[in-house]
Amino acid sequence: MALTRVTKHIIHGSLLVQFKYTENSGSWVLTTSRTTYTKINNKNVVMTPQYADSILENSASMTMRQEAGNNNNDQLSIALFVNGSNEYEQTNILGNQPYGNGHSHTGGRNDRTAPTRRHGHVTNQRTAVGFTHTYTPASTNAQDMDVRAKSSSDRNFSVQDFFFICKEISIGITTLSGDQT
Amino acid sequence: MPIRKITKRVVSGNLLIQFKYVEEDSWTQNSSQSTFQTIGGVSIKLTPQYADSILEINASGTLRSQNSSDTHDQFAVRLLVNNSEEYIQSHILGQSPYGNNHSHTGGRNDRTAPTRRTGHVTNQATTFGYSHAYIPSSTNAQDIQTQTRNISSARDSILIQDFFMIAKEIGIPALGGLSGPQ
Repeated sequence: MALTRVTKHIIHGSLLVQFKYTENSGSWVLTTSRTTYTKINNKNVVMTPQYADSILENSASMTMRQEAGNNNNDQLSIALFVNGSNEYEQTNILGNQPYGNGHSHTGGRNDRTAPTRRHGHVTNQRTAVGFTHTYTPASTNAQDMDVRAKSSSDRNFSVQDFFFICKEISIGITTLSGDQT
Repeated sequence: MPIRKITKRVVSGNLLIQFKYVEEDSWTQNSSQSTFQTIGGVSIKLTPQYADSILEINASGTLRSQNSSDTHDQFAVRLLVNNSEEYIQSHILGQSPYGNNHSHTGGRNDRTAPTRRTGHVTNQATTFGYSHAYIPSSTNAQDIQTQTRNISSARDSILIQDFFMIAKEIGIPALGGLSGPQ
């Protein structure tokens, strides 16, 4: 067999080091302390970076629904928490301001209408929610990552079909990767 | 020392060559709202290391209509690369408010009147996001931006919050058929 010369060829790039995920199928309803960021059914991902300069990439998707049956203008928010600290949040992911002309006078016989009554209402709004985020922890300490949700008003809301992915990506050549802001 | 046999095994796959990202906390589009404008003026400049690489773009954020009066405005976002539209999402938010109009003037003191409608919606908010991939087929620099506009009207401002965009260069493997548009 003829000898083959082996040529060394260096290719620079990043490596997908870790890939972890968690799920909460079905519905989770927040019924207490709804104006405080609360972990979605206590689901979390703990990842210990193998390299201090790695990038951690997070992506999540779910649907949310207001459970309040009366007229409201509640605003829902979600946030990515890492080791108990707010790393990234999305406010105003759902909501509106219901509005309609109010009646100006009492409605005559039998009070058919009255001032301040308004007929334009919106209830039980729902939406698909998702985010993508990236950060560099700059250490090899364990990263406890979770997604939390809250409402602007203390009324029930639900999170359904929650899925959360975390990846560790080695940085490769620093000039080719990282924050460009 | 015992001799160990080395077995050669070829593993084929893609290499993640570049990974860049930008963030914008809050940005308001309060003029020329019906014209596409770059969110926060932020962009990612990425020069592909290989002409056949795939560029993958992911973006997410929230959008809130700043209208204080009744509206049926609709909104769009798009991915702009080197000033060309690469991908667009139309109608990411919007609806048509509806309610029965009154048919008559309301008697004494005009308690109501024709064309008055009582069902309105204002200040809508939504989350948005997209995933996209393309092959630039060159090693020319790619200036990557996400833009928004109000399709329906230049009247109402748009508030974008918590915007995050990631751009990746993914090296395509030598083996054909394992990657690319399907």
